[in-house]
Amino acid sequence: MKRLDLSLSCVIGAAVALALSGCKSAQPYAGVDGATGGEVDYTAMQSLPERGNFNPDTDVDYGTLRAPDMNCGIIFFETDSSTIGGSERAKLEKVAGWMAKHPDKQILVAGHTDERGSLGYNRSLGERRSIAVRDYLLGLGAGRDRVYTHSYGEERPAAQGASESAYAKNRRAEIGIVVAKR
Amino acid sequence: MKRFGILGLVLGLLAAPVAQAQVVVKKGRVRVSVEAIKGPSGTEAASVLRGDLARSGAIEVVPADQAEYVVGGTAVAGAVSAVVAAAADRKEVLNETYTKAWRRATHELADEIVKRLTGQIGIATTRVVFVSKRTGNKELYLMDLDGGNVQQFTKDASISVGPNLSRDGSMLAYTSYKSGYPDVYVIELASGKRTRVAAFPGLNSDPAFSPDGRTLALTLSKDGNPEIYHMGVAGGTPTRLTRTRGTEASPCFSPDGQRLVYSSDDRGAPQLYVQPLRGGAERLNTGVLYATEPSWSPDGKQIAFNARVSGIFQIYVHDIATSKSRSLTSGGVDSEDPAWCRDSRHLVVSRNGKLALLDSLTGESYVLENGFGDSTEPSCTQ
Repeated sequence: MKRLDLSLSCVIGAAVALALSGCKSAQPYAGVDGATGGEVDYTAMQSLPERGNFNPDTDVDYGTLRAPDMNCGIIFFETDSSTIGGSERAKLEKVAGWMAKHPDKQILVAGHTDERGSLGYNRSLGERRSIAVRDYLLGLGAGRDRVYTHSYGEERPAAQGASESAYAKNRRAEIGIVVAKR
Repeated sequence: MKRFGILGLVLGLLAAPVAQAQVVVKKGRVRVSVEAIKGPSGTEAASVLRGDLARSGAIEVVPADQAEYVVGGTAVAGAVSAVVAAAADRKEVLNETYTKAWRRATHELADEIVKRLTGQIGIATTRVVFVSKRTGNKELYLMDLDGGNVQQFTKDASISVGPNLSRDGSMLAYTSYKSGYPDVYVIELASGKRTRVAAFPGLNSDPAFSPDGRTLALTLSKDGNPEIYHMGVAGGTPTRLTRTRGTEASPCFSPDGQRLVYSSDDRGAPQLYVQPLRGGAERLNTGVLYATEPSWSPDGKQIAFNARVSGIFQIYVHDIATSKSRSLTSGGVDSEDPAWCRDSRHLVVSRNGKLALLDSLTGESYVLENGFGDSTEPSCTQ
């Protein structure tokens, strides 16, 4: 435990030192957990694209990828986790396939959490989930300027109530197609 | 200290104070009686004053025959006059008139009485900003510490969350989705002038003022992960302070402005980290497996935070000098979002949708009744 603490602070410290020294090259992730095994091998943080000319609240079509013939518009997560689970990867391959067929379209990934975490943490966690989906899609060949991220934290639950089944439905990232002008 | 902690647990658990505990807790408090206050606002002012004095933790409000000091006076809509005299010899220790709206005047009187009689810092004039979804959308509201004088502050019909008041109370920073995106805004309270200061790609959230009010720490994801940044209060280029693959959130400055405490789940469940602005994060050894929403006390000695224990959120306080953490709440009800008051003793927290004042010394708590059932994310003026 102690050794892990130390190594972690060192890693963070070194990473921060690098960040502050103005090093421009992409830094590898400094993660130490083993939760990413089997994920697409993305090793550099990718800056997010500039905001598009659309409103995430009103200009996103969530229906197309969610329709029965696609069924790939909602990615679910474990508690406090932003790891893309094995059961969710086929959905993202479908999304990537759809994007390849519609090269003029952009998508928005809206991250959500259940209501159990702290409000501030959940805002960040929703974004982390959105970015995990984005990174996975980039790993499958999606262009970096075609995937926008967004977080609603716990503010827009899909299911009401304080049950485990409601929580499971709320820990999600919703993938929608940007419908407004570019 | 340990016994106080256990006592706090007992008091926190029970709605009615335990007689035996009451004796210990009240020991050392100055006994004050508030006599009938005259004038058209007198009855209400007396009631507000009794509440303010009791919540100070330094004064016990008692009947006249048990009092060391007696308060009398007159309250009209625009002024409160008060005389405080020793019960034994009727010698006056305070004789003041506060010329402003009676409720505010009464809070100022309460803080002055606490200061004169006990030497402690009064908190009755504290203003609290909080979030409520009463209208169907999350909006910001302001209230007095006793739950009175509630004002709706935003009417964005969007999502307004994560408010933070500057130390001098002149500015309010928060996250609003009114553009469709989560952006950070700063409002000058006197003029109502609102400026969008962070609208970078991705998440812009959880702004926290530096003690001098010139800069903000906040969470941004523009570089590809939710991380902690530092930027000028009028906007500008943010400096990145963290670099992990985890989720950073909820930064809060130390009172000297040199360090930040924030949460990160880089190694699993979220933990607290303290980091000087120049870098070099250290994990705070809180002894709990899930720690979020840190708040650094104004005297710099303690960090309050949310701890999730057995699935329930409790309020914990970490003492910097001893590196020990202790719980202030227990039981089956969630308590969240601790915000220190200026005395570095009391905390405003959100408990099951109500705001409550917690005394970190005794464990006593008071519901701050504001008429709302869903109050969250409080922040206090200092």
